[in-house]
Amino acid sequence: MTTTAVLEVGRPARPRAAERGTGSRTATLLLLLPAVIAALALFVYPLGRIVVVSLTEPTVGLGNYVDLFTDGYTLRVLIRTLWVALAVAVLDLLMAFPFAYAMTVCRPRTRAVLFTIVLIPFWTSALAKNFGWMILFQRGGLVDRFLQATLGIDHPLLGTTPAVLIAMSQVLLPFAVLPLYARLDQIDRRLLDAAQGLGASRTRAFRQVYLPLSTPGLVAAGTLTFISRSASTSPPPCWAHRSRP
Amino acid sequence: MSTPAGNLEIRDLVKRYGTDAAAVAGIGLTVDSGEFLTLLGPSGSGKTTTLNMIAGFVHPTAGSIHLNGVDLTELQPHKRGFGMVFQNYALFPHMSVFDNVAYPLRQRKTGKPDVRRLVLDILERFGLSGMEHRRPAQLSGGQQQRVALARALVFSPSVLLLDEPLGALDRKLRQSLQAELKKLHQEVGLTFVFVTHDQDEAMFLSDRIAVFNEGRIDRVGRPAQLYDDPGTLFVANFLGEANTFAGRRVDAETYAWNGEKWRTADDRHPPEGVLVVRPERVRVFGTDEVPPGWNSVAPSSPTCPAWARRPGST
Repeated sequence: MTTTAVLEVGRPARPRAAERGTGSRTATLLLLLPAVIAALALFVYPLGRIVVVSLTEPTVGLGNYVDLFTDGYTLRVLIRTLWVALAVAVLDLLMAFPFAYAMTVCRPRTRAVLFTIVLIPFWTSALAKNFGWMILFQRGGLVDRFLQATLGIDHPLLGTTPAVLIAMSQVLLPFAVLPLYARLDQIDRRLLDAAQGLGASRTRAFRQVYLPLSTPGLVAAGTLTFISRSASTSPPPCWAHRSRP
Repeated sequence: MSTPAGNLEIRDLVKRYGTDAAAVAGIGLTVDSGEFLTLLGPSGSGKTTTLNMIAGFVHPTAGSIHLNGVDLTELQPHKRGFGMVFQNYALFPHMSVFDNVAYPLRQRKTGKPDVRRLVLDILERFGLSGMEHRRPAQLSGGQQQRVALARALVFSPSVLLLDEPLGALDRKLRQSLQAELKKLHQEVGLTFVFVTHDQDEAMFLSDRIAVFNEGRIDRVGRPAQLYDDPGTLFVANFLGEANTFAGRRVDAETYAWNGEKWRTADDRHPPEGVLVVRPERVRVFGTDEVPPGWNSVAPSSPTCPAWARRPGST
């Protein structure tokens, strides 16, 4: 009896809080349920099946994986994919940063125009974009003629790595610009004045204050472009078909 | 903080944006060494633009700015060497308190041991010891304010520019920080140029106030002087409460307004001058004290006349 009493005194109001906690936790779980079921059925299960199949067919063992890394082809493709994805991410960040920055400082009307320009690729079908680039890059295409006329390069871009980089960067630019803009728009521009007022040159103020504050946006934009590019399959063959083995 | 206080001179400063009316329409002003000068005015009156031109963030359309006789007009902000406290402080959110305060020293290539000593000293002085590793977001409004002041003063500037530094704080904190600021000014003896739209703040803190109105300085003077002898109707209304009577002076002693004759000892203003009566100067007299033929009128002080209405009249 005494023990019970002590325990009761020692935990005031706690059971009620716990009950409330359980209630909201159940609600949370219920809310998550559809997404969890969808992920399990459509993602985890198929992926698991692939792993199982890869280890069991045609015979049980690691044979499939040995082939994968020793056929001299898959590994090369994998590395090139990652390399291209990385290059595209870097290119996109380099192009997106000034663009997103301009969007934060311009007038609202100009900003609306810039937004539209960024979003146009979203409204264009992938097919149209792919063919568009093919036409531009091919022998006798606009880009080809321009390169011949200005730099005297007598080699169509179509089928080369630069063509892949250019076309991919264009397609993915919105994925870099939008998260970056969201971040840059949050940065208080008075901080740049503050840095300069305290003795930093314009470049230093940018490097020491603006750039560190924009890092989360750069990371988000970079990750988004890198991931979607390393998983992309359909467009590259169109632009790079010549170099396919 | 051994730097001698700087003296600032502003000559015929103009700022025009595009074809709009000038934001600052030609102002001249001198700020003496060690003086606490406030630029006071309603929003849009040009006071902040003027401060931004002094700091170098805004390039003037015409005119010049001089510090200790040297022309600064074409100098980049980072080469002017002013200490500056911003509205909402503008502390760098990604840096610790220590790094924030060390920032101006590091820009000046101060040696590491000196940076450490100076920063810790000034943090202690502002009651911020032990907070050097915190981020600005982890501080209260008053503490952020003190960090901003420490950062602006740590490199011993000769002039401190303050852009509505107390604007974001609640009334109570504001009052205590006003007192701190005043004390700080007396201790460091630097030249302070302070921007505010709060007349009470300006009256309390300043040695002199420059009252801004539509891009011009209406008047410059000591707070009490501007209060007692505002000179313009705008200053009279902007500084403190004022009852204004647009009548006219009849002779040295008599002012006529709304068909009534009032007596005043103040004969400094022109015949068309508007009469300004500060509410606290009003004194009520009994009817028997009033000379026959007069409304109940009497000056309550030699510099500021006051009248009271006869009971029953409107």
